[in-house]
Amino acid sequence: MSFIKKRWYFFVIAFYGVLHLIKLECFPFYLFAMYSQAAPFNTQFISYEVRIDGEACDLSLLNYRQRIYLNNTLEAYDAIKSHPEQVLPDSKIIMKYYKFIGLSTMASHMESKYRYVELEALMTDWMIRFFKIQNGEVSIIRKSFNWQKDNYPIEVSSELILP
Amino acid sequence: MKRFNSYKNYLKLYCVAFLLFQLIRAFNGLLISQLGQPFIHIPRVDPLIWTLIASGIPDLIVQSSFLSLALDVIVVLPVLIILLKNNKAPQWTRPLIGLHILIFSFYLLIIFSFPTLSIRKYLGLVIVPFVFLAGSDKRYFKNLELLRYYVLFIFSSSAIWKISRGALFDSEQFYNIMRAQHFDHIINFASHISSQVGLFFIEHPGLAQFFYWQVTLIQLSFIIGAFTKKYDHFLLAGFLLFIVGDFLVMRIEYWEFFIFIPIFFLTVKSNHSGV
Repeated sequence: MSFIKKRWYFFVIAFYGVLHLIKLECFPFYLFAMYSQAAPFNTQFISYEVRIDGEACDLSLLNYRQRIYLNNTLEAYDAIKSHPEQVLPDSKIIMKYYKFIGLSTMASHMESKYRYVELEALMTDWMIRFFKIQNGEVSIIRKSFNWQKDNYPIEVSSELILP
Repeated sequence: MKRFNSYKNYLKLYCVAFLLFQLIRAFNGLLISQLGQPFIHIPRVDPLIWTLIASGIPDLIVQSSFLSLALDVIVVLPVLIILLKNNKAPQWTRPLIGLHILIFSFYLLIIFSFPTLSIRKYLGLVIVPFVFLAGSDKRYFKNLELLRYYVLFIFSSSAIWKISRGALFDSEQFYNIMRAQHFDHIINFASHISSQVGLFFIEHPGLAQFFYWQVTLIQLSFIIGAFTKKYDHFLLAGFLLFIVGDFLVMRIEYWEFFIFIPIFFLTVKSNHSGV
C-alpha cells in the first residue's frame, strides 16, 4: 500500500500510456494529438442556414462561442436525423465498450436514445430557447458547397432538414 | 518581491483566473443554465462521459432550471470562499480545493456531454488545483514540478503524434486542415483576422506547410524541458506564441492555459513558507 502511495505517479503515467496506445480518452487524461490525423483533400463542405418565420438569421452576428455551440448542435442533429440507428458517429466504439464491460442493456439504452423521440419537435423547441424567441416557425437548411482548388466555395444544393 | 509561484500567490492567481473565466463563460452564454436545455449529446471518445450520459444525470440537470442554475452557482462558491477567507482560515483551504476539484470536474463533464466547446481548453483549470492539495512546502514544489512535466508532455506529445502519424510529411496536410477549419469562418466571419490569415495560407500551400513544420518544431522543443530548466523562459515564449498563434491562425482559444505560466519560473528553489 505504501508503495502505491509513494509511487502513485507511476500508475498514473502507465494509465495515460495505455490510453495513448488504444487512442482513448478519459477525463482528465486527454490526448493532445490535434491535427495529426491525415487530412484528406476535400471539395464537399456543409453549412447550415437558420430561418425564423421564413427569414434567414445572420449567424455572423452571434457571439462566436455561441456560434460554435449552435453549429455543433446542428451537425449532431443532422447526423442523428440521417442515421437514427446510431447515437452519433462514435456510437460503434461506445457499443463495443459497453458490451466489453458486460453492460449490454446500457448499450441498447444508448443505442435507442434518439430512435423513439420526436426529434424535430425537440429540435424546434431547443432552437426557440436558443434564439430566445417567444414563438415563430423555425427551419434549418443544409447547404452543400463545392470548393475546388484556387477557387472560392460555391453553393451547389440546399435541403430543408427542419421541419 | 515575492515569487508569484509561491503557494499563496499562485492560489490567489488561480482563484481570480477561475472566477474571471467563469464570468467570461457567462457573458458567452455557455453556463449550464444558459444552454437552452439541450437534448442532443456528443459522446466523444471518453468512457466517463458515455457512462454519465447513460445514467441520465446530464439530462436531469439541464432539463431543470433550478438544478442547472444551482450548479452554476455552486461551482464558484468554494473558489470564492478560498479567495475571501484564505488568510483568516487557511486550515479550510485544502478541503475546499478538494471540493472545488470534484464539483468543477462534474460541471465540465455535464457541459462536455453536450455539443459545446472543447473540454481541453478548461483542462488547466482542472489540473492546476491539484498542486494546492499539498500539505507542505516540499510537497507543493514537488507537485509544481509534476505539473511542469505535464505541460511539457502536452506540447511534446502533440509533436510526436504529428511525426508518428506521418502528418508532417504530407505536403498538403496543413493546407487541407486550413480548408476544413476555415470553411465556415470564410462563409460567416469573412472579415475576422483569423479568416484572413486562413485564406492567406489556403492561397499559399507551401507557406502553410512550412508554418506547420515550425509549430511542430516549437512543440517538440518542449522535450528539452524534461532535462533542464535552463531554457524555461524560451519555452514560455514558445508557449505564449503557440496560444496567440492558435487564435490568429486557427481561431482556437486556449486562453485558460495562461494559468500554467507560473510553472515556467521554477528555476530557483525557494524556502519560503506559505502552505
